[in-house]
Amino acid sequence: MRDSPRLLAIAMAATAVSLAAVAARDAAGGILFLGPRSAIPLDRAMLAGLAGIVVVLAFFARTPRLQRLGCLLSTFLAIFASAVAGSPWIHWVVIAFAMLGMLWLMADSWQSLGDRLAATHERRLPRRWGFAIPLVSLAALAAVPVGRRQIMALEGFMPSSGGRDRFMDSASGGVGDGDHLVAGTDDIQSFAPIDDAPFMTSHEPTLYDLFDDTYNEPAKNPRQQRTIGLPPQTKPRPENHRASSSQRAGREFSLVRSPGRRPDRHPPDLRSRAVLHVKGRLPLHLKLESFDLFDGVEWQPEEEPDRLPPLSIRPVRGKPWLQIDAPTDERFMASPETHAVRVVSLDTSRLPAPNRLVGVHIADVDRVDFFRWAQADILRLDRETLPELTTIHMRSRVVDPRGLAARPGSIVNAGPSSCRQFGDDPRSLAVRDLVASWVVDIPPGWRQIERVVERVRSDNQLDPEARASPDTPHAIAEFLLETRRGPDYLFASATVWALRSLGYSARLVSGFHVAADAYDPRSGHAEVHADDVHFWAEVAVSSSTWASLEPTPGYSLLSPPPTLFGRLATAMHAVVAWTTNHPFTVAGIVAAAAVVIRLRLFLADRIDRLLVAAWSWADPATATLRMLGLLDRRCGRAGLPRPLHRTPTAWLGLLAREFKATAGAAAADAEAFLDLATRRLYQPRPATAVDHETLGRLLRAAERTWSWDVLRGLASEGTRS
Amino acid sequence: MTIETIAAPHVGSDRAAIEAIRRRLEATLKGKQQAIGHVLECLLARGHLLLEDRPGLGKTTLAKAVAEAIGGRFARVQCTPDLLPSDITGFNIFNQKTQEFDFRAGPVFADVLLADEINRATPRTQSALLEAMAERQVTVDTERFPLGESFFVIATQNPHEQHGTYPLPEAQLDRFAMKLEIGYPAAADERAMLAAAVGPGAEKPNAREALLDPERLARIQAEVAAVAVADVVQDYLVRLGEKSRGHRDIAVGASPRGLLTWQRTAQARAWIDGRDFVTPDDVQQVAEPVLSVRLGIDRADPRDVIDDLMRGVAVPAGPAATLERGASR
Repeated sequence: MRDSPRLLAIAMAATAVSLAAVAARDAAGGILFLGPRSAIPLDRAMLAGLAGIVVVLAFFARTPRLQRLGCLLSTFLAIFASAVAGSPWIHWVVIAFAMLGMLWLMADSWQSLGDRLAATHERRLPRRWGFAIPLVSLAALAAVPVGRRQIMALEGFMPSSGGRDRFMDSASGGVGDGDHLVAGTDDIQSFAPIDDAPFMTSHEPTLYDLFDDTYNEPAKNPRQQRTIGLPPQTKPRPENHRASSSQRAGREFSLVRSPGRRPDRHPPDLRSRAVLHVKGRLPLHLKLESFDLFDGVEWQPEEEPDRLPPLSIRPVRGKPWLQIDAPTDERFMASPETHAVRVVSLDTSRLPAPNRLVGVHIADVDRVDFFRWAQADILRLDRETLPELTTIHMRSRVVDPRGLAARPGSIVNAGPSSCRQFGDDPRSLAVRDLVASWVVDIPPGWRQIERVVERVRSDNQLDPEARASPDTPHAIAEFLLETRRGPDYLFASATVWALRSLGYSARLVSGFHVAADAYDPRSGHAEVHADDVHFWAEVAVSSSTWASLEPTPGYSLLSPPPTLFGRLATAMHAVVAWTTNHPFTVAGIVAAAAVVIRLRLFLADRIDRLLVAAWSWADPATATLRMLGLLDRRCGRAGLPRPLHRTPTAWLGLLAREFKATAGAAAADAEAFLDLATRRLYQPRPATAVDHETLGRLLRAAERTWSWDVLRGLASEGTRS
Repeated sequence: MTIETIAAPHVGSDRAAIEAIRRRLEATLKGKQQAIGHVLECLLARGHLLLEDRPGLGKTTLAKAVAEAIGGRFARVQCTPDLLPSDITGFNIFNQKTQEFDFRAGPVFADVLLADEINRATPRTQSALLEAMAERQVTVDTERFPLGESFFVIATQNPHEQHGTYPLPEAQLDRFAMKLEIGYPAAADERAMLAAAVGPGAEKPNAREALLDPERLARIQAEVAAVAVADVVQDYLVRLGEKSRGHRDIAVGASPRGLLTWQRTAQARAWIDGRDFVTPDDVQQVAEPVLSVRLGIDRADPRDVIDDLMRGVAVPAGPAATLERGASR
């Protein structure tokens, strides 16, 4: 009963802090798991700081004044966090907090009432009201909306980043977009970073321009002979060569390309050269094209398979989402997550999408015939190009390698036959021998695939400038067996070819790679530039599921979304790693902390003394009382706290008699100091004036008589006896 | 400039006189320094004293020694159930010669009145005495007679013998400034007392000269009343009073008159200590005798209750509070 206000206050603090954590997680990046390069928005930092204060106050909830302060701050934190957070279930946490708050108020006032009532009165809790009032209030609260819009109501109470008055780099919200906002008078593109920007057409670089910009044009070698046979029906594919626009099946990709780098054609003063903006977890591979057949030099784009997953539009929370109903093997698929992609300037109708897409949402696009399959697993819009500055929300699932590692063998021969094409020429056979030597001790399965990727990555050197020799008959064999250096498309091709030599279905994929450090905390999204085009490999892990593989050094795949436990483990690992990497720093901090904790009272006393000395110097009229205050606090710190009903002078006199202060001039001065202090404290019109010299002598005598060592000695004597 | 000497020059001789009284009382009643200190405080505060203890502990001896020391007229009334108010106040008697009523003053017109075993007197007699104590006057047959300026009553009562007594009501107890218990002396003091009683001159106590006179006492009492009391100390007194009224073991808390008496005795305490201002320590030192006479303490030991009361109220100690006060002036 006595403890209930304290327990309720602690529960309030816990609820408020968890609300703050949720609010922080909802914001971009979050507080606890921000990447190393992310800036923390001011309001999040304040939220975190406030949460820390609330936790500390909860520890001291035994002190009534701190308990009340803690509850006040908890309430503020809860209100602010609930306004910032976007989760719908936060509503219920807020209601739970309000209930706790009401119970705390009741318990607190009941206790203080109880303290005032005479003991003769019988005290009985009004139980009926104790439950009825919170229930009625709960019903009222359930009607209150909680959400992002309430942030406006809090304007002025808590600093929010951004806003009308100033611009902040790390703003996560607020009014206006700072210097990203440009007054649009001539060009409508400059000020419409919104979901429903008008669909527009424009002459932007096509996918092929981008690839040619980055990797140069294919080198023409009229004398070149194909070394690897292609299936007969693929040979002509005349329409491919005619297809200049990207909604058709793509063009072939040659591994033999012109050397050197194209000069930068972009004007130097252009602020942003972004092709795409991406919001969501990074790093991310956005797939635009896939290739299956290979003739030694050129990759042929994959043809549309006969059976494609059916598409349908279903509303999700009132918004039309395209659902892709592909069969899924839940055993190795991570939970879905959402990314948003905004096309800035890219002339293609294909959706730059993560692997294993399950849903797409574009504002106001609610008809399924807007979407078409471009290639297996690659969607396009049924129009010339993607609408510019339009946000495309995509839900996708990552293949979880931990699930795959548990299923040895079943991966071989999983995909379509065109992705198992392999050459019978001597060079391909040499590649096969090399790959066989890599995996000689590993049974077929995911571990084998991992080993192949690992070997391709570690045995070869990334060199974006390196080119296959123009007259090579087999660019992959040349790369793996001779040069061992080359750009990313050679790494990806080599991985595909190596996997095919072992019987896996694999294909080459091109698109964009968005690195983790591309995230720009100022704009809250990552910018994808033209030179972010990239090649990687995919391997079929079941009849309909392809797993991405990243053999190129320096590039990484999106890991499955971390669980809470996983995040904690990551954080713990980071702490442990930092600790082991900085042993001397850590040891120094620990030692310093130990010393400070051990000597905290002594240090506090020294600081107190310095402050008192400074104040007394500035204002000699108060010196006596300040010294008295110092000695009073020193008694408390030394373990001889003055009882509340004793005057400080009486207490100091008592202590002096206790340790038999040295007789003589010093004792007389100390006595005179007490007398002077008593006058300063209680004489209504202190008539006594003391000259500087005498005052200094008295203060020094007092400081020596009730010195830290003497008081500590007396206190330890008291505890011994 | 130096620190001002605490004893003001003009009170030096007065304080010496009070010190002499203290020494004499201590010689009379050995080992009872604290009780004697309180007696002096009560005297200087113009309060009346109630001594409560078993018989034979020196109540009457103490009262007589006080009366002797401060000089002036001393009267003693042994209270019994048949004592009448007029036995205390005096009465009018018809003078055959002058054919007029003459007023025959009672013992109440003395400077020091010892009312022995006051709880044996009837309530009527008690209230006559108490009117004299409170108003410092008596009314006989509609005629008012003012009493001496330094009129001082020492009443005694035996709390352990209840048969045939009329306990003083709380309203009347409030007229006393202090209640003291003398208690048994320590073994060494008792031995010294026995030693002093052996010998030829022991039986006949020699009359000793007075150390003060009533006029001088009245002047000292006026000085005591002028001892300064700071706002914070008065606040402290008020908080103590409030706390006593809300205390669970106290049926009747300190009255405003009680607080006035408390302040005055604290002033006396400060004066005796040579200060011209009151500290919370003074308030605390006189708390027990002042409060035990007027608080209606039901169950527990009054000393424990008063101790608890004092511990429950924080003294004004912070330099901050004082600095604020200084700033506001």
